[in-house]
Amino acid sequence: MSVEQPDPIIHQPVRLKLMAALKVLPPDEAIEFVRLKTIVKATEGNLGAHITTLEEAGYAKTEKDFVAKRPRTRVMLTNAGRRAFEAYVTYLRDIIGTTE
Amino acid sequence: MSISRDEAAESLRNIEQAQSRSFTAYGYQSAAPFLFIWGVVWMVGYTSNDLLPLYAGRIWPALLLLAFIASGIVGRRMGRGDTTEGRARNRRIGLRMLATWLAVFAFIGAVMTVMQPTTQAQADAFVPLIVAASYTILGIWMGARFVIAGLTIAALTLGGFYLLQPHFALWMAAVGGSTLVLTGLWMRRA
Repeated sequence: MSVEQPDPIIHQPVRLKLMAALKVLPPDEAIEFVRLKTIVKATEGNLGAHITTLEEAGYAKTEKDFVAKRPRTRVMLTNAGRRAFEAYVTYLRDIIGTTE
Repeated sequence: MSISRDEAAESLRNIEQAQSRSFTAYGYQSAAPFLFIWGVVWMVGYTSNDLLPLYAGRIWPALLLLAFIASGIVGRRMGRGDTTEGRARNRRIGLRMLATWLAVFAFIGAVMTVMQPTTQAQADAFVPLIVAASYTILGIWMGARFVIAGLTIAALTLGGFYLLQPHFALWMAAVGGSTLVLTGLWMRRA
């Protein structure tokens, strides 16, 4: 699928890295917030705000639980998020002329 | 809004880097609890080889059974089981893990039968060396920490085999088991 304009939600650099990091996980799998922070190299507040934006767009969802009495937040892509990211990557590849 | 060719190329590079880091981090996150479990198995099992050699033949099968059950419980908790697809995926992964372990144990049993180790230390060293090779190979694809764990286990196994053979099993319990547990901790913090 090709798009005329970049998706403004994904286009933001931190959210792009976030989406890329989440897309590589198997479907239905989530990764811990603290690991995402390291992968994306963002501060906790910054990362939290971008995840909220992705959630509001329906691209990501979070799950909160407790492990050994400590709170844990895990993040995963939704199906809509996967499709949007794939469309965005296709858009980028179209620009540089290296479609798969 | 449009982006230039250079910006697009830069974005694709960022995507690739983020995916590579995420793939490695996910591997560490997935492996960590299993390293704890098998580290404890090594500690108890190899200690029994040294202190209770007459009972080791009964202790090891019981330990392996417990480790399989614990691994299954941990695997189930790690996977998302709140959707039909999630449950089906968990089942597929569980069956593949079981098949992998059965293949590994069948291979170890076959090699032991063919090679006929003449001392207990030779038999005790064989499995850790297989584990070390497996982690090293896995690490070449998944991340440096697996390689470091594999090489550490190999070095400790060979060091103990050649330098501390009278208490080799105890050595493997202490340092082999600890290496797995500490590697699990290290990967959990990655």
